[in-house]
Amino acid sequence: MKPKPILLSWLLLSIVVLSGCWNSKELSHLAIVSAIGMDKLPGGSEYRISFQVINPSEISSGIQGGGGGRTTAVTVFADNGSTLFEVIRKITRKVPRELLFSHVKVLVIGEALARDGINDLFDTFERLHQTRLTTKVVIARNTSAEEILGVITPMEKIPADAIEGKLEFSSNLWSENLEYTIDDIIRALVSKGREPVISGVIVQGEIERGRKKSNVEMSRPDALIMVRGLAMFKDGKMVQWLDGDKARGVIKLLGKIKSSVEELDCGSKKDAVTVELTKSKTRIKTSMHNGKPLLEISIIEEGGLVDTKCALDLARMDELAMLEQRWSKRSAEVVTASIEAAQKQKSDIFGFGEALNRTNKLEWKRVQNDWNTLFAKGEIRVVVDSYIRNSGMRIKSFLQQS
Amino acid sequence: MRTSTEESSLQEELSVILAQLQQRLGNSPDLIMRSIRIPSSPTTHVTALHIDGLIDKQMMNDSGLCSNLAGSGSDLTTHGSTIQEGVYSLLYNHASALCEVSTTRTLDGVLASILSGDTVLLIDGIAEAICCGTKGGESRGVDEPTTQVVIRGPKDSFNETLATNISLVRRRIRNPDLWLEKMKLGKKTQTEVAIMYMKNTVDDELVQEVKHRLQKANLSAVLESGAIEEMIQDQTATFFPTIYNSERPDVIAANLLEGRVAILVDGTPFALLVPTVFAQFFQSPDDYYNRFDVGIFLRMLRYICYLISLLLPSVYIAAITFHQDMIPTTLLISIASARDGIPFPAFIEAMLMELSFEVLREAGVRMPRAMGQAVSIVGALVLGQAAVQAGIVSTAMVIVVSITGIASFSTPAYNVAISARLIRLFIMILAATLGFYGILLGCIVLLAHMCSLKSFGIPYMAPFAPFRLFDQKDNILRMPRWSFIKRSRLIHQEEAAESWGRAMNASSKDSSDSKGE
Repeated sequence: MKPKPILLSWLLLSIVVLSGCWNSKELSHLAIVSAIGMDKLPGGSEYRISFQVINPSEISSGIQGGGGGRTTAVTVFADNGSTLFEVIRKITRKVPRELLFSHVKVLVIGEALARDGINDLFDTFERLHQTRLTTKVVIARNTSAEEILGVITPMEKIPADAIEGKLEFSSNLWSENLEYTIDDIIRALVSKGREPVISGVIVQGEIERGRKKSNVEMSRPDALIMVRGLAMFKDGKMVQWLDGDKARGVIKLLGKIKSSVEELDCGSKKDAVTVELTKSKTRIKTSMHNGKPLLEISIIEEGGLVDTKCALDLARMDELAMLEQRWSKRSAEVVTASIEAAQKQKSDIFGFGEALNRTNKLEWKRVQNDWNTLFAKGEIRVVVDSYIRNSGMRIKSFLQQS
Repeated sequence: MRTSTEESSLQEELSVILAQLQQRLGNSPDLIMRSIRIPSSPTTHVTALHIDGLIDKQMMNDSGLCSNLAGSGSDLTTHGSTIQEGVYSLLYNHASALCEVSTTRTLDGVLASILSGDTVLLIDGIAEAICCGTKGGESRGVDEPTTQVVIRGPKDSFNETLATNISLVRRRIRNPDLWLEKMKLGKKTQTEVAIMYMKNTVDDELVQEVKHRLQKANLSAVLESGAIEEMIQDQTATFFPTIYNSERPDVIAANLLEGRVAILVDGTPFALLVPTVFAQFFQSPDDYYNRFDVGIFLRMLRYICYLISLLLPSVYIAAITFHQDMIPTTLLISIASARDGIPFPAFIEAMLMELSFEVLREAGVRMPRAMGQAVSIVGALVLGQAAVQAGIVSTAMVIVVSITGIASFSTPAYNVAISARLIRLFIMILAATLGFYGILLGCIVLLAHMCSLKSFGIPYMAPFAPFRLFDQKDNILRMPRWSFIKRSRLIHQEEAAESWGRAMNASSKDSSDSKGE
């Protein structure tokens, strides 16, 4: 005979009932965190951690039952504590719901904290199951992370989305920034042959007025978050901001450039030709010569001409070749400047050490503990091959005809 | 009918018999007795008996017995030794020419005959009755099927008359191999049941098993084939129907050609088919009448819809109460904003909506047809709109429940769709307590259960488990028709041409394979 079915079903039912609703959380009891900000409190080892929490009914007020119009799209809650987790629990005194971290888009680190060192920050992110290592990281430049989180942004209702969007598109199209995730940073921190670089964000305008909803009720917002610069780290501590060409040189060296804009001289006219970079490939190779590293960089880049302010005859190959040469030279200068800047800070943000590790493991083992000083003394050799593949919809500029 | 002690043979005297019959039938006014006068023998009393409404009046009157007998020949004694016997054989011969004729010598036999629509002729002085098959009477015409609608395909369906139904199948398979057996089921109702099969295609043991189970089914009343289905099915404690039913003659014919056995029951348009596999419930005749690519697409769509109708509310509950990290942020925010201010947990909300949807559906079916439409409009507008506006349920939940409801209508077989409704509620409980883990547990249990089912010895999940690659071409897929027959050479052209039906489907193979089980 079969086992008694009624008894069996009662037992099975008890599995369901006795286990309770494990980990069940009603959506209406959750506060969706869109961004986390971390700052250092002046004096002492405590952090000030801020959470940008979404007010769902403000985001999708079109939905029935949503309401909306009462408050801002996000609210920032902040508290002090010595670890992230402590603050997560402590903040419940201020937030009426439980925080949900699986949708955090951006982690903002205050500049002061970054300069103090970021080594200790990321352990919790790896341990908690909710937090995601694909969260983008930025540094709040000249300000605190809490201030950045508080700025209400136009177009994107959630400021974290705005930061993420700016980071993504400026990285793809302008290439002075980098989308660096927590995971990337942890890997760079662990590696002895590489140091992290993290994009910076600043608030343009009046921060005070950026916190109000009225900030987005005008055509030119009082305060605007802007992505600017790359923070260079050494031993987990931020040492310097890189801007403009230096930042672009770093991105180019890292091989992370997707598309960019380069300006070239045309005869005596400065920056008279604009090239859209469409493809760039970087190879780095490190070797040791007489106790000094030789840093060899070879870059192949392609692009199209998009703007001229002088009469160029692009039908002539030698004109084009000259332009290409000029571009190569300029790229080499930019890249060299970036490396030199890093050498000055003894911070190998490009991963030359890792490159050495790949080619000569024994040598690397010998020098790895002293790598940063060796890197600073390294000899740079840059080879750039540039190709201008097209000139857009025209060959001759109308400037030439007139 | 054998309740009384009068198992007795017929009396010779007509008036006695008539009195006995009237007594047995409680003087029913619908017992019609007509006296027939034989011109050549006016002294012999002959009475024709039938029940009003059960016989074919046309047959009785036009070519009927009474009028034709009146002018029959004169030399009665040539047929028998006495005048009565002469009348008897005259009537017998005459009736034989008009309809099928049998004789009975018992009162019960007479009763059974007239109750099943025969006309019984009784002759004074003869203890034997002539039963003429004049079955007929009012019945519904052959209409379009209402439960298994197709866009392309035959538009006829069974009705409540067994003879019509059998003829509808016969008309499709003009083959002496199509065999038919009849039996009477139901101690009280004496319902006629027909078993049809293709003699050389079907597994003989299957036919034996069907007959055995039918005889064993100890039913007192068979008013619908559902009663038989319940008595002969392999397992009662299951959500899944293990016997297929159809009101479409083309479906029955196709399945007969595959080697299944059809059970047709008098009084219902729904015929049963055994053995049945799960995949059958997702096949619509349309699949075979349309191009194969369309067939494949529609069939896969139906499987997906079945999964949706089974799991969607559970997945929704699990996702928003356990796995918020799986939902895209924008969607999560929309759901969260829609759920802001909803007083119930997601599970209660889902149950509320599901139950009201079921109530709507049931009410829509039961309502008088004219009002059915009103119910659905009122339901959709009032319940959906007002409930959302009142903040009792969220818009997302309304969407989920409606998609689930619509998806459940896309299963071609009603009985499987309705079982999905039941299972859904159980999985929802699991989802609300254990999340995706619970859904998974539920699905595993469900699958294990389905794999344990059998229909007349055939594994219910047949071409899936046990997996048969050869049969996959008409399972989830519906491959082009030429693949249903093994590639034949020119010699076998006949065979190829004949197999218009869904030959080679799973169960016909299985029925021969799994004899030992």
